[in-house]
Amino acid sequence: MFAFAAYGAVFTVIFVFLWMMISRQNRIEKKLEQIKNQLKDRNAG
Amino acid sequence: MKLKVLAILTLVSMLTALYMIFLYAPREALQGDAQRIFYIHVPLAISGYVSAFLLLIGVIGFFRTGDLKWDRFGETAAALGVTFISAQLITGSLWSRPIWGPWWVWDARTTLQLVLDLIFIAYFMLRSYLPDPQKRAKLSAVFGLLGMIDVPINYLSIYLVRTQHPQAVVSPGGGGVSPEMGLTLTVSFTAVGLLYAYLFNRRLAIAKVEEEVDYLEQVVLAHE
Repeated sequence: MFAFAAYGAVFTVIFVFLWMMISRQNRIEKKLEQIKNQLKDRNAG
Repeated sequence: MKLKVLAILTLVSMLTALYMIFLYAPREALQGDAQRIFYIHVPLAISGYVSAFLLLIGVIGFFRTGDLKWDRFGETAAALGVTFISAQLITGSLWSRPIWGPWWVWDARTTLQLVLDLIFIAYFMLRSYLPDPQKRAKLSAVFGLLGMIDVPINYLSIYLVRTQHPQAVVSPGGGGVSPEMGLTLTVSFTAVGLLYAYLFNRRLAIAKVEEEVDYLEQVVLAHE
């Protein structure tokens, strides 16, 4: 039981790390999209 | 492409390691199934030491060149250090309970490992208070050196002081393990090593893009 709990905990910690990393990537992509739109609007204006 | 290959190799090696840990490796006579924690506990601990070493490389690189890419390198190592050492401390606690009795023992090895984890956490706390990239890199680099000071003391603690934590069984002079256990540990080390390499490269790539996007944002704002 303790062994399963330990491996479960390890995978949970790694999952949290991956989730945080992917959230960070999504935030950057969103920011880049905003900059692109800003530049498009400026060129159109 | 390189990251995709690494991801596939990591997944395959992790599944192989899990199969070997729970189905191939023999049940240890004295500790029973709780001993299976050993196969993940040890590679995670070594990954923590590797993180401290990579952080040191980042610190040296930054002080020699002043290039922020070394700061990103060190920050990525510290992030993985927190993750892997935290996971290792949890597995240690879950191993301690059925074998030693308490969930936690304040002996030299466990305490120094906790200190290493806290050094990495403090490194991030410090960084969060410093918005200027150059100043942040300089101050956190000094703090990051503390991690590397902890590692040799931590490693030698089980030989220098009487501890509840046992001495390494797979090191020279250790008790050794059966060939099946040795092979399982090797596969587990490979899986954790590949996972570390994958997460490190991916996080480093994200940090680089983030810096570039931040720079681009500043340029756009400056021209408004």
